[in-house]
Amino acid sequence: MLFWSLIAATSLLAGLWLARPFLRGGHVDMDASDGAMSVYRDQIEELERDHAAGLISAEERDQARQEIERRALVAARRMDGGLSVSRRSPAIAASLAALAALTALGGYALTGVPTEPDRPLASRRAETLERMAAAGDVNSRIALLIDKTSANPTSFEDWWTLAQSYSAIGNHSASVDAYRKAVELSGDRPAVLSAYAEAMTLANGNKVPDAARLAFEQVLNRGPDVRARYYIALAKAQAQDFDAALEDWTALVRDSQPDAPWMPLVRRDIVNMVRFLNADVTEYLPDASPQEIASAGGALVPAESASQIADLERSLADDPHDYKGWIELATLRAGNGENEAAANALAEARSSYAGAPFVLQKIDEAARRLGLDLLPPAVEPAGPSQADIEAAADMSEGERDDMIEGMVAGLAAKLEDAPNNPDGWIMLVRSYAVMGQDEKARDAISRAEAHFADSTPVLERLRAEAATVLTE
Amino acid sequence: MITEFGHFALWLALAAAVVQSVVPLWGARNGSAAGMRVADSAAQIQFLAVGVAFAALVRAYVVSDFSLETVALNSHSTKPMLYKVTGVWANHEGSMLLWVMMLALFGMLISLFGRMIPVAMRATVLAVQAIIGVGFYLFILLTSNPFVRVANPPLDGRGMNPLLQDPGVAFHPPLLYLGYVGFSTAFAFALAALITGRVDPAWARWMRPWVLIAWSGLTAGIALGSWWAYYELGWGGFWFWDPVENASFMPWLIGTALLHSAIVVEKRNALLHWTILLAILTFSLSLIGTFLVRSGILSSVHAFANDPERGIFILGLLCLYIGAALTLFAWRAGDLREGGVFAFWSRESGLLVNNVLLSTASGVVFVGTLYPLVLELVTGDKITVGAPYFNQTFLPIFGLTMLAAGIGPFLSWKRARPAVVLRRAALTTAISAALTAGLAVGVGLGEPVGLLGAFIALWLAVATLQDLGHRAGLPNVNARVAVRRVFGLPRSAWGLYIGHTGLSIAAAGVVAVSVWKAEEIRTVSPGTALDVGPYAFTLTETRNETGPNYQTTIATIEVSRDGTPIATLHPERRWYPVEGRPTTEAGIRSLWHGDLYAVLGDPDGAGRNVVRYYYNPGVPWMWLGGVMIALAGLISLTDRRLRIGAPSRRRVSTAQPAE
Repeated sequence: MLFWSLIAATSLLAGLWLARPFLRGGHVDMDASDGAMSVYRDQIEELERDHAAGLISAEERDQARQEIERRALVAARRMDGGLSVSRRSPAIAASLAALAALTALGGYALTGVPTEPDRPLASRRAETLERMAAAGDVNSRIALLIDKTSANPTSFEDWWTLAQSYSAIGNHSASVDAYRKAVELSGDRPAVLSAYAEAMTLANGNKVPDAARLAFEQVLNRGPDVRARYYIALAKAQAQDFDAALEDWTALVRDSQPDAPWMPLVRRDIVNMVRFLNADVTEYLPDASPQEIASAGGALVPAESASQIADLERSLADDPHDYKGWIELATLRAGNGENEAAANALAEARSSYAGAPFVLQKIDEAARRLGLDLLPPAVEPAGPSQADIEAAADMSEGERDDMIEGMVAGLAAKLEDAPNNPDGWIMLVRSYAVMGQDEKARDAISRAEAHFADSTPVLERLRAEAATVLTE
Repeated sequence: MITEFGHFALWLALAAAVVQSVVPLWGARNGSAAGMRVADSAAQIQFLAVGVAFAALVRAYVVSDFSLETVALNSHSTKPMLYKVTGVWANHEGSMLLWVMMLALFGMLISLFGRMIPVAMRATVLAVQAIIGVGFYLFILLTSNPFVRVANPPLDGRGMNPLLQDPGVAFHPPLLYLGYVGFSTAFAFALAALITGRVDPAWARWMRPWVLIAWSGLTAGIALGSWWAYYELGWGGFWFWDPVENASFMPWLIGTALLHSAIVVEKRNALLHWTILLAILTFSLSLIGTFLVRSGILSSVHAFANDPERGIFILGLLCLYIGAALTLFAWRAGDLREGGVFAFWSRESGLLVNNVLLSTASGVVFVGTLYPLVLELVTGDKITVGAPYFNQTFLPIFGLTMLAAGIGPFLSWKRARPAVVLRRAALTTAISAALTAGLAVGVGLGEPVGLLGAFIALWLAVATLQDLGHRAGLPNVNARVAVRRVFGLPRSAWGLYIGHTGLSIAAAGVVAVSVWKAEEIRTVSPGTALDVGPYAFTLTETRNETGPNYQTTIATIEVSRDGTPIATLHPERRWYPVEGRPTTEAGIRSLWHGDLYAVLGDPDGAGRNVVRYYYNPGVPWMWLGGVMIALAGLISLTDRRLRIGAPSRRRVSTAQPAE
């Protein structure tokens, strides 16, 4: 309403200014000015100047002067033009002003969006982040929390939520820092300390560091804590003290309700541990399920899994960029008791996906699930380091192509999980196009278009990208 | 709210333009002074309104309001502020808004400074301008509205073509539009002359300042665009006979003819038809240029055919305005009586020859630009008309034009004495031929084409200086008198001498760089020296740095001549991650005789880089010449007789007794 009053008032003022000549009467205008005369006068002056400068003779000057005067006479005769008089005419003025105002207002009503406020970027950051955080976007929640914690660094709640959010996206080293703050602010509350130590462990590639082990022990000193018991056992296993680890985990199972949330994890680790030790699983888990017994003994039906393994190996030899295939292969091999072969499968998957952190994280998770991370370090394949990526410069062309393909496949996998990333899609399309895989590029475009169907700017970007990189 | 107010202001500008196009014409027909004066107030409101709209759009870019579609598609939050602002006109919608704002600006200036123009003429001129404006306001509001909002604004924009993120090209469109749109005044004066039936020296004088402003702006705009292409595109070239360039060059050629033709109207009341036709054609070519650049027809005829809304709209406006103007010309031109008669040997004839040559040159460019488009529309065949066509057709005609420009000032008005003219021309020929021979023998320049070009450029320079000497009274007066006389020359004469000298200098530069350029393209490792002409270029190192919104690799290149260090060049290769595009920034050192020019190309992965080294003789002369030509227009503008807005009435009373 305010806006409409503003533009209505503006149009009216403008309309009145437009019509102003009809409001002021009594003006008399000559239809022709002395313009023409002044031209001729200047020309005569110039003749005199030229003559004085010796550029033309007196005779030439006189001739020219006569001609100019003749023309001036003709012009003067035509200057009979009448006078025109302005008459006041409020009626015309009013209708002109109204016409102008109505045209402007009507036109604006046609194409304008008067309810739409300005949306400068500066005022939109919090709003956008909140909207996306509410829709479940962890990164936006993190950005918001970073804003909050830097504005108010003494709020335990904010640090605590921030640390948990970092954990949720797998950014464990950032989560360690946030937990440390939370621990300080909470005055070493055991639950917080325990979460902090877990984050340290996860940030350390699921190897319990000494500091974390000390923290867990401190937590246990102050009261029971399942997490601390689990990780201390894990630390023992990682120190090759398998029997002690098995004992602790078994005790944990005994003390817990059968439907406790941590039970599947602990039982899985027991089963894996039993498999390494070639022990009898029922000794530790009297209620072991048939499946657990099978996993622990490597007693899957060999014929079936053998053919599955062979199929997978063939298809992976053709196209190594199928991380789900590799994980399945590792799972099958581990199920057959071939732990080293399983670890090798994951190692190969890692090398195909060097440079794609998202996939590497998935592979790590698989390794943890299969207990392969408990194997002695010699078998543990090194993850890709910055040095590896830098070394890509020294690779042969084939190797480099492989690595790039790995990165691209990693990006594709990541976008499948978190598709709300226009830049990611564009980079994916571009990468496929560069690698000559037009089919995949088109497929990626159509998937991205489906996802961003209601966002014109993103669609335009996608189409422009498609037009530049794809040949018809 | 500011954005929506800007949107509303654009409609208000349209409303003002509608009033401005109707009421003044009604007033002129019915002798209503108030009706005619509405032209003035409407022109002021129109400019104010469109200015507010433009300011609102600029603000949206500055604060990155991505709820505007054009901002979301063409800007980015990390762009430097300068390019946020210039990004406003680096896209279709914004540049069209700039176009109409320029149009409104000229209208307002005429309403404020054109008080000496009789009200009926001024009202008609402003009405014609407003009619053009109405068409373009509708075009913007209905097909290219910069104020279209998006419901869910993205968090960041798509960015701006990094090639355009450059100070040179940032101010190229406003200057170009100053020219394009400024010629609308000439068009409006021509139509007003046809409508009112009044064409006389005064008419030419009223029109002249506006044409001079437009022409200077266009000259500067073209030179700036050429300069940008030279240092940004990294090929050492400055003119590519690209349709976009031709689109600005054609109105310049015809506009130059108009500028000269209008002198004849003012001085001799002759060539009236020519002048009116040239005024119509100049702006028509500006419109055609706008159509070529803005309809998308150039990037692809198919894209144009598939999404024809904008193109068809502009094409419709084009046909309407040009068709109506030419029809009016055909209908009313017969009523105009030519004034002064002139002999074959006269300044008038010289200027007529100049007009014919410039029009022919423009026609040649027109054919070469539009023929491929028409052919593709009709037969679907894609052809390119490139430099060879233009070199063979345009250059000879333009060479003749320059020769004529040299002789022209020798001719006196109405009736010149052929013997005197021929004697002076023979002297010009002798001096320029001797100088050219000096170049060939003394400096050892070989190419006949280059020497011919050098001769023509020298001819124009010699003739211009010769005429200046003559006007000063040399050799009959002593040096002191001569100097006094030179400084006493009217500003319009200074315009002539500076403009023609500038043209000669620019032409010399073009000839030099086209014929005698030296270049070397090679993959080199740091430390390798390459000989380019007399210079040795050595790449010493490359290093990576980060700019505000790009990453860059900067090379250091030492240039020496016979072992003496001359310059250090720093060409760059930039990468703009938002837009995903690279740009090259040439490293250039201008010496008085030419440019040392280095471009850094792709690395080959083994520590070596592709480099392109050039020695471009004459290039600094081109820019100097361009500046002089543009300046010549502005200097003429300050001529006493053009001082717009000067109270002419008072001059009458004081000057009359003196006569």
